[in-house]
Amino acid sequence: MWKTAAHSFMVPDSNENSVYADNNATSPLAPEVWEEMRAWSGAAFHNASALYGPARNAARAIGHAREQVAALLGLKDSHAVVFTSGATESNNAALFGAARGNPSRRHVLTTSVEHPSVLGPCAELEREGYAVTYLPVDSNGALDPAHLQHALRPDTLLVSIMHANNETGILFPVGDLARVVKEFDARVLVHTDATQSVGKLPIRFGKELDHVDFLSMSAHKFHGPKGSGALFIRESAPWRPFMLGGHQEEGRRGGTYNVPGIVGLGRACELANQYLNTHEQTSRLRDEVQAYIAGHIPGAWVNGANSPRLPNTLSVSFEGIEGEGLVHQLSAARVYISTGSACTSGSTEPSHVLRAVGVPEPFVHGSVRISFSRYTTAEEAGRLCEALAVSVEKLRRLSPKKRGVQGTPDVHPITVRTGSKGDSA
Amino acid sequence: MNMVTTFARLSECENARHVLDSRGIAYEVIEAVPQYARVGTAALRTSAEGQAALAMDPGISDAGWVDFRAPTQPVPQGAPDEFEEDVFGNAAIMVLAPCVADLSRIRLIAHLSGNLAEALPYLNAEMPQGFFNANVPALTFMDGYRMVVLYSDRVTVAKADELVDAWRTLDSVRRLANSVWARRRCIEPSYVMRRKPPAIEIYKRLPGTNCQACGERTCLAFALRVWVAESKPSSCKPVFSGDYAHLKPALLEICAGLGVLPSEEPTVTVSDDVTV
Repeated sequence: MWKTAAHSFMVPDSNENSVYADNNATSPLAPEVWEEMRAWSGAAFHNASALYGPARNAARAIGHAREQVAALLGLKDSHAVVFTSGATESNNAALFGAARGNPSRRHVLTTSVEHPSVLGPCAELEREGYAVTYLPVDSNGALDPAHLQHALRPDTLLVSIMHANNETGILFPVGDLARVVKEFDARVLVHTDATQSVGKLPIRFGKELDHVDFLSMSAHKFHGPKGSGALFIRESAPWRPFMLGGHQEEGRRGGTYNVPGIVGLGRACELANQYLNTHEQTSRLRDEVQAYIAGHIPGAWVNGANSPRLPNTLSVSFEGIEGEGLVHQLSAARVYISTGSACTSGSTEPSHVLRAVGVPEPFVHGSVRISFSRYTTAEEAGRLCEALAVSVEKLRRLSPKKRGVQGTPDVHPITVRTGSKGDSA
Repeated sequence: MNMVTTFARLSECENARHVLDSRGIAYEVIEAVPQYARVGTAALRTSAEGQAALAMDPGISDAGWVDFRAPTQPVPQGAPDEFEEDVFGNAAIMVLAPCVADLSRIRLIAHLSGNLAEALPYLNAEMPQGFFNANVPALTFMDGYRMVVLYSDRVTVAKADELVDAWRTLDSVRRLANSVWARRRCIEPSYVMRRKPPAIEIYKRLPGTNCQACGERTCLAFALRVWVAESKPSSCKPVFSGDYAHLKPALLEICAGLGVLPSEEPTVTVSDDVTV
């Protein structure tokens, strides 16, 4: 199953007959994207800012990629797209850039379930003397627009709300929330971290996102390369550059253009646009797995089953076992899933997101995230179901814990319904 | 043979040994008996090849793998201490993994056959240096530099040296919980919620001169080291033998509150007269 590369690390054999269901962590590169990147990695290595012929070609390829990103987002003007090293940089650039662009305003509003690349900059702004309000979510993972309205202040500079949560897949109605913000004060800026939804859902400026000033995205979440992403910046938004250096991106982001990464992102966007209709097939597979769990594995709790969710994501908690133990056990069966987001796995405390959405104590430690892609087959989903049932049963057998005592609800409040309401944005 | 794992049940260890035997892969078994028999089964030490063979076998349920490190302490002889009323029961290690922040240390998650829910408020009362969350409920405390979190029927240990050290930690928690439970009639249970003060509270009690006498570049870096019990507060020479001696009582107080006092003994010691 493993072959040894020239170095001493083990690299997985591409023939391994595995089931990859951790696409919210990262996704396999589409072959078409890889082709595009190869073309810009060999003889075409030139610096896109240089003046000779091959460099001009690279600059044109970047322009084309910018158009491809703009087309996926429904933007008329691709100029608003700035290429970055990924969503973490995009989020940092949006938050710090907005703060520096509006020095008289000192308040930021966000949610308690954001990705660490938003919460980190928020904590740093707090250290610099900014006030930050973290809005709670209810047990359905939903955000109350009234809470948002009450939390807005005359000195609020930015509201940052993720489009889809990486752990639960729950969607926030960012368009509606942005309208609430702009009605309060049109000068408050709105950022959305759309890392998990771009490429998985139709996300369109022109209607839903008309009031959004910044949008972060990352290529590797939808079959593009790692280390490549983009930030949409509304031209009218007061903002200061975050990465200072050369005059690349018209002075909005310094650093030599990552030509293979950028053309890879562009091609991934084009493919995502082409394949957007496959998200129904992905959500059908997800719903089948959810129904299987409800029917075959007792003591399971689906997180956000009644909320609008990403079509590819299933967050489920099993009573009495450890999510990490389940991931380890499934790995032996070559089924790869995650305990939540890769950025929080490893700490001994259950994820802040699952706590926030009110997963009960006996379940919260046994939470896993299954995330499919357009490449996931029905056969793979079936193998995942079988491996899941066997592994959960085995881990419960190995544990000395007494299930169903003290603190455990008598009735398993599984809220699974087959078919899913509002699975699109 | 530089990899080691453990198992929730001894039968799983037997299965793993069969797999290695049938493939002719060398291994070594470190048994948890007798003293740690209530908190551990056995550790299996083998090569990367042995680890790969077991990791790819869906029939094997190991708890996870860490780099092998020689135990710094022997497994004590003699039977484990027994208690008339056993709230802890037996612990089974369900997850074993390297620490995220410090790959040279290990962390684990153990499930208990007992239930500590009713004992936790008594443990909270007895451990003013702990951090209690009554809503979960969970009690977090330091055992030296190791971080222990007690839930009703599970225990997590982070930053243990190696597996035998983790067994020792689990067993000391077992004895602590049971001996506090045995004395519960003399203890006023406490539901007081305490949160761990942030590292900035240590930093506020340092000179702030970045003199680097402690070996860190800045006082803030030193504060973070002390906060995670990787440095002793006494390494701050200006406070302990210099111009900033007036900060010493305040620094010691916050460190005592955090359970990271400069003590050669582990914070949790269980003797006839339980002191924590």
